Amino acid sequence: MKRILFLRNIKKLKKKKRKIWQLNKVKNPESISSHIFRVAFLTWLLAKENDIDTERVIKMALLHDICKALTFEETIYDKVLDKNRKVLNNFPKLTLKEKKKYYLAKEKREEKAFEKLVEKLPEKFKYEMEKIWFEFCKGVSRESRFVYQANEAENLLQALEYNQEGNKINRKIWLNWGKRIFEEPIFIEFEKSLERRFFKKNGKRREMDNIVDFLIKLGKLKRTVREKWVLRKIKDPEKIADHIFSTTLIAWMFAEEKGLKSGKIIKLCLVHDLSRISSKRNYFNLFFPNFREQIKTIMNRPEEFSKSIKEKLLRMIKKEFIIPHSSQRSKNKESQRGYREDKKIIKNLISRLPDNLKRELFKFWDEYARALTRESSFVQQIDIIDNLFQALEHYRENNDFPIDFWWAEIGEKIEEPPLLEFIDLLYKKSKKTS
Amino acid sequence: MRGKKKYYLTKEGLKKIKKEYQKLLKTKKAVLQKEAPPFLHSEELNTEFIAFKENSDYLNSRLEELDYIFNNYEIIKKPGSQEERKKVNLGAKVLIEINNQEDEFMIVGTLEADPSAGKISNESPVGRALLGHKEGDEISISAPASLTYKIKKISY
Repeated sequence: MKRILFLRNIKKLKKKKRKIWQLNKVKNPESISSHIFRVAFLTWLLAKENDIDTERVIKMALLHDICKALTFEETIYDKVLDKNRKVLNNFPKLTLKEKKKYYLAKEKREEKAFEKLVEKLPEKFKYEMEKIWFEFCKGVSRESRFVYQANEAENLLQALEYNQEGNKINRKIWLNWGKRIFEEPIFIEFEKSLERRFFKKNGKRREMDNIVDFLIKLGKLKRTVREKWVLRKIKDPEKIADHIFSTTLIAWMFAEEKGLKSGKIIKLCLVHDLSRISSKRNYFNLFFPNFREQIKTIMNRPEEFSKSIKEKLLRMIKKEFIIPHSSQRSKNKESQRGYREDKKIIKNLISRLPDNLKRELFKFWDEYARALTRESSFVQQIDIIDNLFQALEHYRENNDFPIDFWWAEIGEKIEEPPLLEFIDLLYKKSKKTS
Repeated sequence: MRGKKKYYLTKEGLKKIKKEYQKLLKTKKAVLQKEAPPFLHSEELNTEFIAFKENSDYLNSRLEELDYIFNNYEIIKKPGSQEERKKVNLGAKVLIEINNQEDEFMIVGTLEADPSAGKISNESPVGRALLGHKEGDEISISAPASLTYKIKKISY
């Protein structure tokens, strides 16, 4: 139950839009979990290039904003915000004393929220999270300062992207804010690359420009909604980046409990849906190419169809999980075709990254996609659990949501005992509340 | 291998790090008091042992890092001469004018930097650019998005 509560809290991060973009009146701004997703990637890529403990900094990046699930997000502008929001065109006018007061209050509030968030988690996972989160907050280790700068680097990149899309964001202020923060040479190089790209500054193209290009492409996952929820007419559905974030957290939690290598599991999770950047392939196209429209209609307007048609649909959907021997071959064929398509997308996506990064990202993606190891098969199961968890959230909001479909998927695909135990708990809890 | 680096700290900053060190020592002691799990479990490497080892290694590396800081720090002092106090040095509180608006911050060493809290690292581009300048100086912080920082007041 405690883990369920923790995950429900984590899921709140995808509904919370980032305050600084709301103040700047950005239309449909990113969620906190989408931001965390790209900070984690940025940290991974730059740490790898910089001889720093990659797994430790990725974990830190994943946790750096997690307390916001239970507290509000405050910006340094909040206290000085005027009616016409002109202050956003400048640095906030605060004295040193006021800044200190703001900082201490924020620190206290966030520490309290974090403690509450993790208080009842299994001891091992809780200890790991506390260890890393407090290291980040103290800001003494090189790793914590690295993640602090990665967070600001992602903010800067996002601000420049929003500005380019036509939002009124003062890019000059943002760039200068970066100049107060970046001190590691790799972040200064990152910032220079942004200048080349967004300010059309001349200069020889460097390797960092390719990393920035890659991160910009990743930004698409912050905007791409998951089709399985769109088909069911969910309002403001989660984005792919949100899903990757929550899958990563769930996997990390169970990996700690199971004694699996959490660093590797986290990397597998982060890459697992990267092909969604341009893949048109989805569940319905893959398995029901001829029924897609029909399913969509029934899902969206169930009241117009008789019970027998709906039951038929459910059987048809379930069929994918209880496949007769004759159709197994065609399913495998489809799945292999999907793998080849996704591989092409991934190869293209990473093609201009430095060789070491290219190799590492592909290795993890391929291991996941082909379920080559125990860890990758574990992550595939976690992916399904995250889907179920999300579906249950939708079911809680609307009892007409076709939840049976998700239970069917679970029944066929989950095999790890602690995961089955967790599913059992989820089932009991959902029966109690329904 | 990292090069020898000097860490500049305020007294307050040093106190914070010492507190952190004591906390880590306490945690390490608690971890070591527990018996280490067996290395092997049914002829396979015991995952409990791996976790125990990773945790001890983590704590040791954090403590080593802080030891390194204790051996290479320098307390930020108020400059001795009147002449030096007129310049931006580490520990200076600087009131600047930027875009016709005032802003105030302090120049600190990397370990204490947090611009939202008004503390800017001496190693950041802005920190580096301001060091050594006097009241009335105008410093332009790099194109293409250059902003001019006019130093209005320096205090220690």
